Amino acid sequence: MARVFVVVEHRQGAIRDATFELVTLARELECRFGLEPAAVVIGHNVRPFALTLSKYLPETIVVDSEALENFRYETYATVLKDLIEKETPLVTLCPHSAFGMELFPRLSVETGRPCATDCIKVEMDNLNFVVVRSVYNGKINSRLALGSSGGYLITVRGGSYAPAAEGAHEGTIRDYPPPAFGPTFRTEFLGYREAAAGAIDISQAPFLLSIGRGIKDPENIPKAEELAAKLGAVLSCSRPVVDKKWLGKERQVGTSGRTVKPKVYLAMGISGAFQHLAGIKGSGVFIAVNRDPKAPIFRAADYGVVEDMFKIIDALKEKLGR
Amino acid sequence: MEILVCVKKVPDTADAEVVLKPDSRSIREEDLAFGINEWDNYAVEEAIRIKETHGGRVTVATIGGADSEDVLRRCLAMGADDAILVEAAPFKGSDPYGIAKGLRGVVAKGSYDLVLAGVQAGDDGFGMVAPVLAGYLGWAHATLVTSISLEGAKVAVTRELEGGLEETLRLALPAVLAIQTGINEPRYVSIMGIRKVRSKAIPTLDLAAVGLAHGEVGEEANALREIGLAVPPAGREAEMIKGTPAEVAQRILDIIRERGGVA
Amino acid sequence: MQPFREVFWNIGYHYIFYSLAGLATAIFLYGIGRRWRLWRSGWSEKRGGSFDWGLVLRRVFLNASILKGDPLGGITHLSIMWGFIILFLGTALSTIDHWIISYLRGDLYLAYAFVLDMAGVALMAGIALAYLRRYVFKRERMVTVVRDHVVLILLFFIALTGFMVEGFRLRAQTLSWHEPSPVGQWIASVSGLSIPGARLAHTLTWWVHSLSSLFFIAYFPFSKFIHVFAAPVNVTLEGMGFNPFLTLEEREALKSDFSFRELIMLDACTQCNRCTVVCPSSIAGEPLKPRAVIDEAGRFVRRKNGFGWLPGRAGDASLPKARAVEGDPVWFCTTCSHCYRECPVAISPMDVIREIRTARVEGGEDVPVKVQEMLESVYKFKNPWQGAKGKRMDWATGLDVPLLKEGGADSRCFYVGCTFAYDSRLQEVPRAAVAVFKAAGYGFGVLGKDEVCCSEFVRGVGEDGLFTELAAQNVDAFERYGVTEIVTPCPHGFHTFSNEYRRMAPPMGSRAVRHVSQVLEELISSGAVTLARGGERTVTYHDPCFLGRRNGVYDAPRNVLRSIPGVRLVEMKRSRERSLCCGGGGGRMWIEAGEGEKIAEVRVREAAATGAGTIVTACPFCFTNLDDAVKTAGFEGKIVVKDLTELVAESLERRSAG
Repeated sequence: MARVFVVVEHRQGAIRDATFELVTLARELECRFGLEPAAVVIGHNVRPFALTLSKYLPETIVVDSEALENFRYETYATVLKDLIEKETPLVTLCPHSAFGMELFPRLSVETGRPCATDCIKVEMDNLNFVVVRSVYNGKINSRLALGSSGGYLITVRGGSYAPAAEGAHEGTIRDYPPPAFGPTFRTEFLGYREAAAGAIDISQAPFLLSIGRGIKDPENIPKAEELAAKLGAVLSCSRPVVDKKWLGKERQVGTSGRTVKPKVYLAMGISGAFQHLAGIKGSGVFIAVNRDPKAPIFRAADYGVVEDMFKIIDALKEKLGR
Repeated sequence: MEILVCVKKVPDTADAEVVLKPDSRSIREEDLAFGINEWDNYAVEEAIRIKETHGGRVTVATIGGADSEDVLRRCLAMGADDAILVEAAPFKGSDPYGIAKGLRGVVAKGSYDLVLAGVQAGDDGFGMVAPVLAGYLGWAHATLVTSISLEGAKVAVTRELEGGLEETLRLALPAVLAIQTGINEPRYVSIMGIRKVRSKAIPTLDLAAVGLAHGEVGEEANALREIGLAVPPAGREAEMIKGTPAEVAQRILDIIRERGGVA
Repeated sequence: MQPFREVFWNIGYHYIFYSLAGLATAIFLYGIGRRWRLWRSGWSEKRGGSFDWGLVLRRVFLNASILKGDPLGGITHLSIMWGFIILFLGTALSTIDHWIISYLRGDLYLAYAFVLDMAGVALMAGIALAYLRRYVFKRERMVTVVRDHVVLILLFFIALTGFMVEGFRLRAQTLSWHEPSPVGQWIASVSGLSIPGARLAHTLTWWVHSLSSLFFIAYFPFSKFIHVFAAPVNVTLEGMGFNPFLTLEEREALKSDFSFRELIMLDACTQCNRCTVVCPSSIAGEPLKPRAVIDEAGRFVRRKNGFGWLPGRAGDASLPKARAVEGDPVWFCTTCSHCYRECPVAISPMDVIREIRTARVEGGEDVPVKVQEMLESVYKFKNPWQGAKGKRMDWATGLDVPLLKEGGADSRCFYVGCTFAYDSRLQEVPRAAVAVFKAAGYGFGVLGKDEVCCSEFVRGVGEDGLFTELAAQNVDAFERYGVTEIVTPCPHGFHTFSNEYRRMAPPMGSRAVRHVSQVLEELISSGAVTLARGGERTVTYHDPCFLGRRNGVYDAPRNVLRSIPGVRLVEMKRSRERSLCCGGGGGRMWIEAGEGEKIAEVRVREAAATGAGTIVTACPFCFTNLDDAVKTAGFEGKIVVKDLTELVAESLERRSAG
């Protein structure tokens, strides 16, 4: 029976949300193509995670070892290689996150199995996998067929599938003995740190005015700050603004920045790169202003305005009184 | 410290309109501006800074046609010491595995301590070449690197995780590092600077020179085969607000107030 | 006995004098020689045009450029200059008379004596006036440092002691004629000295006077006095039409930092500060002061060259040109050229600044980040706004705009320009131009997506390499499409096509280049378009630097405005050649202003003071800057900014509607 494995991503004592999106995909593959899904939890003292996953999938495999306490591709790839070669799942899924990007391409070489990254859709054609990926700044979709192989590795873009709900029955949990690790390691985990400590915590703000590359000039940031103040909003931004050091990292919305759940998200001059959109959650209203009618952000927003953002900033300020 | 930086020439599609060719296998390139992949530019700058601090040499390499030479020259003008061009023709349509095989051949020709590349390319965004190359070489790797600090035979790096979090790792050299944007501020390269390096020879390597045989790379050898390109389905589109800026502003404020926004 | 002057009367130890004179002269010649060598170390500029004799004669001999705008200053300098020259000639003539041929006799001598006295008076009066001007009238713009006092006091002292020598001599001598030297005679009469006393006084003051004169001679080439040579030479070079344009190959082959002419400029400067007073950046309180640039650059050059008193003092060839002037000030220049226009001796701080910028850009250091991004955008996208090539013709959506054809001949190119093509507000301007051209049946075509940035300001920030590449692309397009005339709404394009492009590519010389205002003037005056009366409006016209001051086009736009019925034109105080820059040239659209009021805000206030309700511009940068400044300076609703072409098109439209 062909199987699909879902690698559970966790960090600092919590399972990351993307894992549950993979559960949805795994269930879909089960439904449509008859693959048997199982979760794989790797780490140290991760039994609680296995218990959680057992409420979602019929089988959970746990590989627990002190050497696996902190993620390093070296140890996790050794474990997964061993697991995949012994258990021979047809496909192994992982989120396309810092974890997945570090692990899966390398694992692909170690196991000799093809890997497709950052997929937004995963389907099968007989026993071959076909995936869809978003390319050219989100403007084009590309369909790829993975060459025939005994097993496949796929990393999935966050937000491509809805997070799964718990299942009706509890699944089984199986302990899998970790393989022996080699005598020497080439990598060493040293620790975590917060990238930027600022006074502002945008993740709690109910109303965000978010600016992107369209702001063009750090000189224009005070205009946005003024508008944010008048609106009673907190100013946030997309990655390019932080890369240029025009605003601090604590104001960045996106996968490598903060996740926000505002009631109102007003985005100006932001094109809608996926990594940015992935940071916006919740059911608030999303309004986007951008000069480019083809900007991907209009596919994510509730309301869109095709206009020079500065004209809208000025008009809003006008309406709100000088 | 011998550093190799792998770079790619890509089209800038951020603000441009991307149009498919009738066969839906590729995009129209006439109206697009090409240049060095943004992530790779940060990698080149980082390599040069390491060289400026610790000494050594920086080599840049790309798999591309003769038109990719301008990208290499720009890197030379930034401060790289050598450049290598790998003939693109046999790699036409290659997936990241094919590209990584070619680069493996380039690495084999030198004695590098460090290989840098951008995390991903702006056009396809696979993010695979650096870790796959490391796998082929049997070297340590780290992706999403936001800082590098040399420590003798090892290198300490920070990796960018989600939510503003970072992790620090120590890797044994030689290693492959995939560089994230924002790690530094790339220097400006003037045309005069590029002119100064125009006479520098850039060797072109053919397939044999990178240790590959015909059929090992290119479309036929791909593990990832592109079937077709398509414009994303319209799906859920935003409701567009039209009118003069004043009218639009009023509507926006109304929406905000409905949702409990502005005081 | 005929009236004459006995040289060395009552003076012994002539050999001491001659030794010292020889020493002083040697030092003088050595100093002049070193200056000359320093100047010659600069690269040669090319001559353009013919010799403007009038300019040279007026400026050098009549000090016309000093008198302009500052009659007191002009008179002061004329007095000092001519007083000094005549006294110097007087000494020379006397030397010839003493050593070679005696001719200063009789009436000639009497005339000579009188003239010299008057010259001395002029010199001293000029110096007194100079001090009055500096300390009593307190000319605001003047900056005073120690060396300014040194030169004036030294001259005054020499003149004063000269009169005293004369006075004591006349007191002590018994002459059979009355020497018509009024001052000397007066001193003689009030001296209250006996004849032996006067002789003694004469001897003493003679030596004091001689030694101070000899000191002056030796000091001359190492001091501010060098402007006496450098300034006229610079004015002459100006009259000969030299300009610092270099092709890339020439620039690569350069062995020195500045040109021969630029080096002379640095020495021609007397720090009068007229340039700073008109510099828009200084006016807005930014850190740039053109006078300080010349001062600092001059000291840099002398340090690098090892110029100084001591022979064999090594220069420091490693000093980088990029740091000839330290820090940010070089980036605030808008290349408006007002400093150059205002300088009485044709110094161009703008050119010196641009040279330093080329070094900064080439080295990639100390270049403002936004300028880098602009340059990278021009390199990659062929325009400074990161506009996609595919969108360059978006401004023409819905219009039927003819594209030029390959292999065409004798075609007229409407060169739109990047800012007009990509800025959503300014796209109205080329649309307006097209409307007018069509109404007039004026044939034209556009380059379409082949149009690349004119790169005028790319050159302005010092990226000559990128400028050359893009200019070559435009010129190539002009060739391929058989363009013989270029019409553009952008003064920056207009300027660079007419100037640098022509220097770079000879075929450009045969192409007519016009600004749209000139075409509008022609179309209106020939009746090709008629304009209807719209509402009444009072407008003031802001001269764009690159149309007006840099290229002399002042009247065409004004004639156009006067031809629009209902439009009343009022002038700002600073208009035409004296127009205040909007602050957009020289790459300033991408360089953050310092703290405080922006250049454009100063201009908007000036416009509002005329009572006009509209500021009319003919340049996309002027438009953007003034439009922004109207908002930030709080004039929104009180004054509005319009482009000239738009106004004309509006007057057309009303006609077809009514």
